[in-house]
Amino acid sequence: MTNPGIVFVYTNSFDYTSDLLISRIGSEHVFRFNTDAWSDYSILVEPGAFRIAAPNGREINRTGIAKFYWRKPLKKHLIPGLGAKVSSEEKFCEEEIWYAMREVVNMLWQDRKLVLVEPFGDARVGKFIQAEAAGKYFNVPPCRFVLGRPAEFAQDKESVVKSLTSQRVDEDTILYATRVKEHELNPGFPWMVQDLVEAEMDVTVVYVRDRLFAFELQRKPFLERTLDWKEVSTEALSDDWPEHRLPAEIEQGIHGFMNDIGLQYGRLDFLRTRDGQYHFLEVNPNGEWGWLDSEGKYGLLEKMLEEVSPATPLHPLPARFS
Amino acid sequence: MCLSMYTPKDLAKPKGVITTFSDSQYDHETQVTKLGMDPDKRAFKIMMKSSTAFDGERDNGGDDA
Repeated sequence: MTNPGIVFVYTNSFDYTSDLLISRIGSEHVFRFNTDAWSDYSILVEPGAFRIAAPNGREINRTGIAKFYWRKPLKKHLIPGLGAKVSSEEKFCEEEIWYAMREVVNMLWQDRKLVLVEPFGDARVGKFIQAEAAGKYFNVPPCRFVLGRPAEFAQDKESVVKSLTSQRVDEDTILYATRVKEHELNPGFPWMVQDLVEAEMDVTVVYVRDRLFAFELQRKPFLERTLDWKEVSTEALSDDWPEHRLPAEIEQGIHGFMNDIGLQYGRLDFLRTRDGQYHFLEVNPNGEWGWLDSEGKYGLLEKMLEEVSPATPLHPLPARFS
Repeated sequence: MCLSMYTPKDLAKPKGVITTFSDSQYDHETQVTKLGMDPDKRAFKIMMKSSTAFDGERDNGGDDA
């Protein structure tokens, strides 16, 4: 049998979704690089070539890779619990390595080896570009970014503020989607404001190149506490995402929208109201998906394996240049 | 400007879904974590779900986007 080659998985050492994939693909067909554990590897990058070796003795180079999957690279100093232990010099080293590894990714992109996830996809198609494109297919709650314009904030109007970047506000706090009265926002700070949608259900849709997988979450159990399911304890919600049947026109809309914005992978978030209307919130070009089908019941895991495995046909992202 | 108006800090909340990221127990031989060797475990699913807290932050490449 012909050796199918290696898939290069670019991620972090806490990425359990990669664990799931590798358990199924077989470790011998994968080279996993954990960005937070960079000191475990040896790296050589030159114009047009690279070599990376892992502590288990396995080494890869530019010509030996069948596919590259940008999973979840993460800097060590951003990991809660580890960040405080990272020295300034270590942070410097990490940044240098990120740059070099970005060039490795760019080489493989030129070689048309990248599958599914576009690195830094949200830098090309962020929330406003998405909202504009989505308006062709879906209801999109009006949104705006506001700084220094108090007249933009209506008196007593209830809206939602959320973060554009998910960056931390304090050491370990973030701004979840939060219900506010607009006039109570300090206009001297930057705010992403969106119209409030009173919805009964979150619907998240994983789009994988040419197929989609929809899941739902009832909002009633947590709505009194928060609008944002991510704020709720994982223990309380981990098994509460059954499959969701999308109307045909929403399915068609998703295919059209993803084609328009040029993404082969994304997790799209919708709100569904009691009258059955769907409201587009955003697409995360590299949204997590593993927990939605960790046992392979819904076809999502199998589809991801089909796209990522080195033994299956390659459907590369378009090269930026050649 | 009214002093009682909200700033981002006033509205920010802890990353509630994180359990712990203190030790991944990653094994270079198998290329998975100890939890990943038994993916049916509930703890494994919880940790995968916890990673959603980084959606966006990680995709932006952290603080150098």
